[in-house]
Amino acid sequence: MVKLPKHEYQTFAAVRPGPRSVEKVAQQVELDQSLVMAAAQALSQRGWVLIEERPEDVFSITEAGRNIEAEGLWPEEFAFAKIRARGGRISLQELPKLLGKDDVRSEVKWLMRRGWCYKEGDTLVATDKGNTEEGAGGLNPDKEFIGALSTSEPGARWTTRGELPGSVAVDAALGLLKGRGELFKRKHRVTRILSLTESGRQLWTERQVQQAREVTQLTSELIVSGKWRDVTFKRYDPNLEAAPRYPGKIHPLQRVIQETRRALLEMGFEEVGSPVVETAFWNFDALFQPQDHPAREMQDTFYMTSPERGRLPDDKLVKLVADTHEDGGDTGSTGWRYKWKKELAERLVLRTHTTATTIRALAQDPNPPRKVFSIGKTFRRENVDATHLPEFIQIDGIIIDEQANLATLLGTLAEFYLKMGAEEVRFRPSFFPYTEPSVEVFARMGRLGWVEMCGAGIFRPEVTRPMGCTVPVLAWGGGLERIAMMRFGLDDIRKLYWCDIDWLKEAKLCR
Amino acid sequence: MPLVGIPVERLKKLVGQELDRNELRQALEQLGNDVEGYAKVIRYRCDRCGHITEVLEHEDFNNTCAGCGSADLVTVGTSDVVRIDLLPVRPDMFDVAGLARALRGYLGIETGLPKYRLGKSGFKVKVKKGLEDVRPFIVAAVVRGVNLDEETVKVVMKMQENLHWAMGRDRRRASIGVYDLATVEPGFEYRPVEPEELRFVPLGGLPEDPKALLTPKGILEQHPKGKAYAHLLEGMKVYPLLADSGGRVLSMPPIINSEQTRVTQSTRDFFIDVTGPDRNAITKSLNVLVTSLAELGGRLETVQVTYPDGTEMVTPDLTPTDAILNPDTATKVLGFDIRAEEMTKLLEKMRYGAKADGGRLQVQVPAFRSDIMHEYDIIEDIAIGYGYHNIRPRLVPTMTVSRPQPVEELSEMVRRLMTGFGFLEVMTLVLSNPSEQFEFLRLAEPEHPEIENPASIEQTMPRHNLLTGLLSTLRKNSTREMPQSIFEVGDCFGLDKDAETGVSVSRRLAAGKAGPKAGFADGRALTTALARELDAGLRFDSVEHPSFIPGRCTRVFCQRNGKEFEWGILGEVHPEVLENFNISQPVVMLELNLDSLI
Repeated sequence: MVKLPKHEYQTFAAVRPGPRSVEKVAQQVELDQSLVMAAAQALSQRGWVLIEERPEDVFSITEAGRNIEAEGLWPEEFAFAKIRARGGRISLQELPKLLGKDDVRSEVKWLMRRGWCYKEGDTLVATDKGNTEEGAGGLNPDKEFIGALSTSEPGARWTTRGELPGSVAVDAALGLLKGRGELFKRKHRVTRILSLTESGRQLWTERQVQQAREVTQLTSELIVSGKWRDVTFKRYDPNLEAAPRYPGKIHPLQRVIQETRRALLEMGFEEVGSPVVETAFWNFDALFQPQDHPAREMQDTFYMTSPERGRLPDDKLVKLVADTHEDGGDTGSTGWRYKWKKELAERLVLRTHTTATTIRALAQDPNPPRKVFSIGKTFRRENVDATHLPEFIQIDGIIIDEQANLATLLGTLAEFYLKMGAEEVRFRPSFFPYTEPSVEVFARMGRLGWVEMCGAGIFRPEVTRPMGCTVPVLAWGGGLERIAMMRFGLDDIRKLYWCDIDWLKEAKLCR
Repeated sequence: MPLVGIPVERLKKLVGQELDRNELRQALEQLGNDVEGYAKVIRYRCDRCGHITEVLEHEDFNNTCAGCGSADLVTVGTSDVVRIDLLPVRPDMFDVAGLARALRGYLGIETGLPKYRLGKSGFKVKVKKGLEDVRPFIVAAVVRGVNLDEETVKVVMKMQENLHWAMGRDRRRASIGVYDLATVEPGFEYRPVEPEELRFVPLGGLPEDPKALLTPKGILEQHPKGKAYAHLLEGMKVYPLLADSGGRVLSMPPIINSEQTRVTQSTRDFFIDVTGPDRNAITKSLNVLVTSLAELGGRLETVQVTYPDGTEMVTPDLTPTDAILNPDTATKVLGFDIRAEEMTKLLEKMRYGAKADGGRLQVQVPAFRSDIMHEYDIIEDIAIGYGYHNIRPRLVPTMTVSRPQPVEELSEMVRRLMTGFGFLEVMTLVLSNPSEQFEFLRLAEPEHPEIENPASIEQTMPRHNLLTGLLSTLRKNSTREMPQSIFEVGDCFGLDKDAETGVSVSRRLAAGKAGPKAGFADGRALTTALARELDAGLRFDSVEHPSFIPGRCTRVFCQRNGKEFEWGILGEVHPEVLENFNISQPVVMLELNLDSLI
C-alpha cells in the first residue's frame, strides 16, 4: 500500500486514463501547474510516471491579423481585381490612383511575390496564375491559416501538431507568411506529457495507491502516535506576507556610543566620568582658556543660577593655574597677561565639552602611561534647529605617555576611526585653544566621502604642567550625533531625540 | 567663525606663482586653513556714501548699500574668491596679503623673516590725562602709497573687521581706526571728551545734513554703530577722542570714525590708530594690519606716542621677538627624527628667522605673529612646514589595560536586559523645565538645579526624572501602533550641598508600556525579572504617589550584600497625568535608581 500526498495522488489519478499534458492535468485537478509538475517529478522518481518533453510552436492571432481577415479580401487580392478590371496592365505611376492610396509598395511587393503580376518596365502585368485556384480570391494556405486562427475563441492557441484543422497546410502557410509577422504570434514552448509507466499502471490496478490525510498543524498527538507517517502536510507558500516583527533595540545613537566605547576599551583605554554641572575652573581655566575668551560668555555657555558656585581644588593647583594664565608661571609660556579672578573660576556651568572630564583625570593622576576616555553629555547655548541642539554627546580621549607625540597622535586617531568604520583617515593642521600642535581629523566614510570627525592635538604645556604632568599628553574630542545622523541617513538632528517609534523599529542594527 | 573670500587672482599675483585651484586649496589647507571652496563675488559701490558692498554671486541681495542703506548701487567688478573659515589665532593670514606671505614661504618662493622698511613720519600722538580708566593705550602708524582699487578697499575693510573680531574681542580689547591722511593736519591728540562737549559728523552721515552732526552722547544714543557698541563705554563719565592739531575729530574710539576722515578710492596715504586697554593686543593688531598693507605695496612710517607720565613710544615696532628652541624638545613632541639644520629650513619656510647655535636654535618670531606664547607654538610650525601628510602615523607602543566604568557596564547590561524583554530604547533631552518635570506629574516643585541663561523657556533645568521624557515620547507616538514598550537609561540631577559642584547625579532606568491592556502587573513582572537578572533581592511597599493611580503604585526596594536600598517607584500612571501629556492610552511605568547596584 502506498499513501501519497494529495497532489501526487491527484496527478496519478488524472494520468491513469491515458497521457495528458501537465497543463491539462492542472486544469482537471485545479492545481497550479508548478504543483502538478512537482508531484509528477516525485512520482517519476519512484518510477511510476513518465515525463515526456515535446517542443512545439504555439500560434495566436494579433489585432492586425483580425483586421486583415475582417476586410475579406487581402490588399493584394483587391489590387489584383482592380488591375484585372483595367485589362490586366497598369503603369506603376497610375496604380496609386487606381487603388485610392498613396503608398502601394506593399501591394506591389505581394503581387510580385505571389506571382500574380510581373513588371514590364514601368508597367505591372497580371499573370494567369492570379486567376487560378491559388490566385486572388482563391484558397491560399496563408489566408486559410490566418482565417482559422481568427475564427478561434479569443485567447485560443493553435499548435503545429494536430490541433489546427487538418486541411491547413501549416508549413506552406508559414512559408507564405514570411514578412507578415505582424499578423500572428508564434511562441516556442515545451509541453510535458505525463503518462503512467508499466509499474505505475500495475500499482493502480492492484489498488495499491491511496491518498494520505493532509494536516495543517503538526500536533504532539501525531508525533507520539506515529500517525505523522500517514499524513501529508499542507504546503505553505513562502511568498505570503507575514506580520512584521521587530526586536527590542537600543537607540541608534546609543549604538554609536557603544561602538565608540568598545573600540577604545579594545585599544587599552580606561573609562572615566565627571560632573555634568561643572566649575568654570575645570571646564575652562584648567584648559588655559583665558577668562575673557568668547567661548566663556553667557552667549555660548550655560551658567547655573542654582547652585551658583562650586568648590575649587586645592589652593596649590588653583595658584599654578592662575599663574599660568597671568604670566605663564613656570611653564615657559608668556601667559595671557591679565589678572586672573578666582570668582569667575568658581562659577558653575553645564560642561561645554568632556575635555573637562579628561583634564580632571589628568590632574588626578598625571603619571604615564595612561590612556583615558570619556563619553558624555555636553552643552552649548545654541538655538534649536536642524543642525544644532543645546546638548550633544561628546567623546574625549587623552594619552599620557613618554612616547606621546604628533606621530603617535595621528597613529592612534587613524586606528580609532578605522575601527569605527572609516576606510581612510587624513589630517590637516588646525588651531584649538588648548592644544599645540593641533590637528583636524577627516575620515572617508563609504558613500558619504570625506567627513570631518574630530579635533585633536597635544595639550599645551600651559595645560599639563600645572597638573603636575611632565610628558606630552595627546588629546582629541568630537561629537557623536553627527556620526549617528550620517549612519542612519538623518538630515535633522532633532529626529534623533524625537524618538518616533516607527523609526526606532526600522533603524537597522547592522552597520 | 567668519568666512572671508580671498580674491584668487590677486593672491596668485602676490604669491608670484601660477597655481591651479587644487594646488592652491591644498597648500592653504596644509597651512592650516579651513577652505570652504571657491565662489564668485560681485562688488557694488554706493553712489551716496562710497561704501563698497561685496555679495556672493548666487546670494540673495536686497540691492542696498551695507554702509548707509541707499539703493544707488553701481556694479564695479567681480572676483573669483577662495572662501576660508577664519581661525582666530592666525590674524596674519586673514587677508590676501598675509596669506600670500605665508604661501610664498610654504612654497619656497621667499623664505625667512619678512623685512619691512620703516620710515619716520615725524608725526606725534599726545595722550592726555583722564583716559587711564577709560581706554588708556594707543598705537599709531602711517602707511603711504597704497593703490586703492575697489577690491583693495574691500580687503582693507575686511581686515579691520576681522581683526576686531579675532584680536579686539569685538573692539573691547582693541579697536582700529583707518583715516585718509590727506584730510587731517598731523599733530594728534588722544584725549577724554565730555559727553556733550562737541559735535561731529560720524561715518555714514552727510556733512551737509545738520541732523548728522552729533555729540558723543548723541552718537551712543542715536547712531546705529553707537548703539551697537555703547556697552563698551557704559558708566564712563568721559569718552576717548582722537583729534588732529586743527581740532578736527578723527574718531571716537572704540565707536566710530568721523565722516570727514573717511578712506575713499582716492586715498593714497593712511593714518592708522589702534586703542585699547591691552597694550599687547593693540600692538599686535597694528603690526598685522600695517605689514599686510606693506605687502600690498604701502610704505610704512612710524608715529611717536607720548603719555602723560612722559613715556615715549615709537610705533609700530616691527622688531621680531627672540626665542630659543631646544631641538630635542621638538623631536620629542613631533615624534620623528629631524635634524636641527632641517628645523631651521622649515622655520624659514614658515617665515621665522632661525639659526642653529650650539645645539639650540635661535628663533626670530615675526612681529605680525600674535599666537606664539610658547616653544610648543614654534614646534607646531615646524610640523606644518614639514607637512602633516608627510608624517608617518604610528601607535604608542606602551601597553595599557582597559578599565570600563562600573556605572557604564551596569547600564549596558540593563539595556541588554530591556531589549531582551522587547522594549525599544529612547534617548530624550537632558534639558527640561519645571512645568513638565513636576507640574505635569502632579508633583510639588522642589529646589532643583537651574540655569541662569536658558536659551528657551522650555529648557531651564537639567532633568529631575526620566518619567517626563518617556511620557513626552509616548505623546509624540500616540498615532503609532499599540502597545508601545519603551525605556531610557540616563542621568538625573538634584541639589546636593555636599557635592563638589553642589549637584547630585544619579543613573536611572525608566520603562513604560502603553496600550489598551497595559497595567500594573506588566510593571511588576518586569521589575521582578530585572531584580532576578541583576541578582538583587526585592520588596514592594504600596504607596500613594501623586503621579500614579491610588492603590496601584508601589515603592520598590532592593537588597544587595545584606543591605536594603530604596530602588524606585512603579505604578499605573494617573489619568490626570496622562491628560496633562495628552496621552489616551493607559500607561504603566517604573523608574529605578541604578547607582545602588554598582
